[in-house]
Amino acid sequence: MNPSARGPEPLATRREFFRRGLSAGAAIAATGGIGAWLLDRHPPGDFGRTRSLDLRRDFSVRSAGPAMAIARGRDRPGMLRRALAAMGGIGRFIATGDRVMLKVNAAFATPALLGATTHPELLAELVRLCRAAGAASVVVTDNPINAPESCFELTGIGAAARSAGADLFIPGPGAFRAGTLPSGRLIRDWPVLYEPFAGVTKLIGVAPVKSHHRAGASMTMKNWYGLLGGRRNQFHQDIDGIIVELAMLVKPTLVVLDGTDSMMTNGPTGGSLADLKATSTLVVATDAVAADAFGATLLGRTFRDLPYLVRAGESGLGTTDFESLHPARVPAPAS
Amino acid sequence: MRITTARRIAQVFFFVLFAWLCFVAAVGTRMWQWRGWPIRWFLELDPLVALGTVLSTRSLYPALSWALATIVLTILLGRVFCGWVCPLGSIHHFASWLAQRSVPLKRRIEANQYHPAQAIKYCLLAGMLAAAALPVGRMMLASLQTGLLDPIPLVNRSFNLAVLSVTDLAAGRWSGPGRLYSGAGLIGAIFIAVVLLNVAVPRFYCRFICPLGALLGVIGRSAPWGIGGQRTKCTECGVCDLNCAGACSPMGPIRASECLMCMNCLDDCPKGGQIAYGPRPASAGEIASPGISRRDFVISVAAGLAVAPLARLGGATAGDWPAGMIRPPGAVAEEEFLARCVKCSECVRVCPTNVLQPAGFSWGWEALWTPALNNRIGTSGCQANCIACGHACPTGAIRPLTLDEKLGRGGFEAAGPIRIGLAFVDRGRCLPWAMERPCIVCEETCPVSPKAIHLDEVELTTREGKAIHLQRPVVDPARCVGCGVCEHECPMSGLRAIRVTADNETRDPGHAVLLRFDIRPALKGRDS
Amino acid sequence: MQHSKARSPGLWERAIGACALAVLAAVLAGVCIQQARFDPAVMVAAVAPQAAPAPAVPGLLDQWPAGLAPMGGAETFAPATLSDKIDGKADLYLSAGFVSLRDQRVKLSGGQGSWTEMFVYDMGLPANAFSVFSSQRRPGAADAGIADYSYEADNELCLVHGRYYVELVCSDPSVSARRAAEALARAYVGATAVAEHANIGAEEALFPPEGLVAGSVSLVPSDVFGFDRLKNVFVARYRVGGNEVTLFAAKRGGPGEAAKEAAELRGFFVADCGGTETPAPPAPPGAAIIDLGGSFEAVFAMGPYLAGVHQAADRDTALAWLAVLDRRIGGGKP
Repeated sequence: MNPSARGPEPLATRREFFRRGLSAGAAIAATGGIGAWLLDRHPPGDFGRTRSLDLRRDFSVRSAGPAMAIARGRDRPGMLRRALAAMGGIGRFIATGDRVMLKVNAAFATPALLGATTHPELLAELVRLCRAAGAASVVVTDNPINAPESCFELTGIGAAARSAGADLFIPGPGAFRAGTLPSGRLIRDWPVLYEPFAGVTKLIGVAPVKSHHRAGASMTMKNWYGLLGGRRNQFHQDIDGIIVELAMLVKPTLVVLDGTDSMMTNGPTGGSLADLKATSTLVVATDAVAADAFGATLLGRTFRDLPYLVRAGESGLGTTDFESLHPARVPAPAS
Repeated sequence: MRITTARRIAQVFFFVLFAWLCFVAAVGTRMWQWRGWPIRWFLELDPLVALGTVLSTRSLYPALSWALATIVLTILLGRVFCGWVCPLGSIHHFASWLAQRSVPLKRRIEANQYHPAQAIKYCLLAGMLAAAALPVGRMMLASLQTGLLDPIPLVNRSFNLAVLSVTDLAAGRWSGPGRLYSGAGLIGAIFIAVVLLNVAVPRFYCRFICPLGALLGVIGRSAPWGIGGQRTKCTECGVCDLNCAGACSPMGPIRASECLMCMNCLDDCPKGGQIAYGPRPASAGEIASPGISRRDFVISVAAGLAVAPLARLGGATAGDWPAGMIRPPGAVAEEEFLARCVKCSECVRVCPTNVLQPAGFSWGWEALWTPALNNRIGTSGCQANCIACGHACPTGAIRPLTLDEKLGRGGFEAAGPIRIGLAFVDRGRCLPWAMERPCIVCEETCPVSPKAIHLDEVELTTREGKAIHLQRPVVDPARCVGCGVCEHECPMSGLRAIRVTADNETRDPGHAVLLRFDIRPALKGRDS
Repeated sequence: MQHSKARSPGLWERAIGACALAVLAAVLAGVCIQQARFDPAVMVAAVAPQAAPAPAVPGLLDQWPAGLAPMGGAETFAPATLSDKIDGKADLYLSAGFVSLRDQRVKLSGGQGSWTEMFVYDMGLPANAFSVFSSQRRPGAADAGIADYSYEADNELCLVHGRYYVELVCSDPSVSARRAAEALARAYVGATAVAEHANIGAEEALFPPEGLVAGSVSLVPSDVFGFDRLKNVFVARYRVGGNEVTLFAAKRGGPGEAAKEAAELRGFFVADCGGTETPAPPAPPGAAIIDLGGSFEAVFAMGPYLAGVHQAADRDTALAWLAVLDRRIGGGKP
């Protein structure tokens, strides 16, 4: 049995009762309010409704107009400087305070000399030029196929970025958001790289010239594949479609197409120096379609041999007639 | 009429209603079938289901608004739900009465003394709510495990899968062989064990284990009205404890959060009126707060917070997702599913083909007793024209689909039909592929139109030198919805020669096999 | 369980008990009301077997002539269901290559509430359409001058338009009804394009014009003269001097085929019909005349043509018509 205990005096009881009544009323009101606030009037939606973001981005500099430069030589940093100078200088594209993203090709963990990835010297020079033009920050990124850390390191891109003063962003699972291209069939509710774009005002794509078994060639337009997350291998079932949709998703400020050593066969991974041919050319352009159309010639083909390029041209995403941009042709310096 | 009589009537009423609603949970229009009977009502009234899902999904599923009524009732009157409504409570009450009938009075009074272990249920509640409260969003780590011990889902599950299976057979309700439920043995055994605990201590579950009781105890501890002792003529004889259901020391100071409002003490007091129901606090005083120490509370919360992260370490919701676990059509993506499913087994009960089964431990313990399809059990796979499971689910873990959305028509053509998996022909076991014998049962029974299985024609010569013409099934992943009818009908009844796995299920784009454009018809009229 | 007798329930206790019971009653009422409002899952399951309703058959015409409006929708029938509509007559169509029937009733506005039922039989081929047209042609029906072939009788207008055989049956033989039928027929023909028109001119030319009963040239699609292996033979009735006889002719793939069929038909008459062969006539070569007891049959093959005389009254009649046919087919045709 319980030991007897004395309770509170009766005088306090009525006051206590009223207090309890009030607090009960308040609790009921709070419960009802919270319930109404949390009420999910649209329980988990049907799968037909797209709930993902429209992640289209346009970084093109309209005031600069279409421009293209084709530089010859073997010295990547030099060719880059000369090509940009022929286009009016990087200052036409990068302004003080800009936050620049450089989208490189770091898809594979292979050494730079095999030509499957962006060359670190080229990247380092581009970072320096951007910073010299007044960029507040430069971030270098890609979503590699192989393990990200080893890709950025073995290709030399990581070291080059750091030495030139750029930030390196290695994507993790949280860096992507479900994105939809409103007029697309393929990029619907698909993880697209999102986090490093925060605050970015200019985007430059840097890619080598490579042949590619499925797409025909991997150049500046195929470079945007690295913005996709998830199990993106599926898109190889419609590689031309996905390249075109990626071009609709992202419009860069500039693209740099490195044709110093073009991978003629066995692309996109290559693996042998014998796959490379010294085409000694570097292209800088505002129009990725035009850059790729020119790049096709380095592979010994025309743009008509690349279905994705034909489709992109027909969709109005750029012009396959690169001559119409009156590209400045910069010869190799005599020495 | 005595209040205890009213309470007993209420207990019987709600128990019978509950059992009836379980019994009628079968798709059909007759009086003993679903019709419009509100089969989810008890689950919707349960505040722990509501609070758990509110914490894990940051939203209140509309049907669960009924729980607000229970909460309001408890705020005003205390744990009347436990004493008057809860069907499991009524079972315990009855079992305790049976068990205690032959026990001498002194022992019975001792059995109803408050025991400090009654604080355990508050620890369980705190731990479960902590597990459910982890942040949602990209790192969705909320794990709703309240369904394991919450009495309404527990008794619902036990009745649906174990208890009523016996009466189903007896009543011959299902034509043909009886329904099967995997793991029903364990569920039934747990139920029996829980009920048998009342032999040890009356209403053992309600006092020591029940997290809903704990929640209602917390909510109702400051109710303006309730049981209380008067101090006018009390001789502290202790007879009020004789039939006290909650072991709440009604003589005083009463433990308000333990009182189950059974009102037995009112009747038992020999002096008459020393225990009264009225405005609180009564003159004998009360102990308002649940008897859980701060230290125990913190430990419980910490343990609960660790649940989901530890459970997810195995990758069951990431790369190592179980391909053999086929969720019902309309199920939401797995992380959200685990945040919504209270393991009530209502969907398993209504499934007309008996293909939905409660999962065991093979897909991770978080998935225990959540629904998944087993195409070897039941009368066929998932019927094309059936949307029962989603409409039986009280929390929206399975969405209540319309038939148009399920079949991908009437406005849902662009999205296509809901797919729950993909069938794979095992060419090493299939009769025409491996054994030179004709069979096209899977192609014949494929219910989609046009069929998702087509036949390759081949001529070959058997080892007896006979030239035969064989048709060999080939699955088209662009059309297969994973319904499992083919797997069910495959004559290779041991390990089926065509088996469905959860690849390509609509609810998780990460499990897709094909580009979606290949499955949906082309979107019309859009330019780049 | 013992309760103290020292306490009897007070007013408040009884009131609270009563309230509680009232709540229970309300719950029961609510549940009973709710059970009659079927859950969507139950509704879907209850109607599911029908799945999608049968798609409505579009009306026979998109635009109806003035004064005519459809009564009800159009119905469609397949070979399996044709007999649901036309009962025993279905055999005629089914043996002639029937594909489908669409039919609809059309009302005349004003008038005495008369209507026309329009049957459109898709027979697959113009020859099949002609065959059912011709085999049902009413004696004394006048050519209506519509479509490929047509005739009209008291309350009926029938025509062949390509592979379609169309019957318009009026509810009464009034002039207005017949005019309406004609308007419908013309509207139908105008609105329906056909790949190939029915044309039996070539076969018609096989038959000598003298004595031909007008409009009696018809195509028997199968089971000609009761012989199940004989199909697609043109027959025509002749009346000369009160005597009636039937001539038949058909073009086959080549001389071999025609000769083979002629031999088979001879064999049929002799073996199956119990006929006796009579001495062969002088012309045409290879011809045979069989005496069936009550009538005479003559069969011959000439080039790719199979022809003969059916149910001649006597041998001389048979011989005479044989000669006519011989001249007609052998002389005028390559």
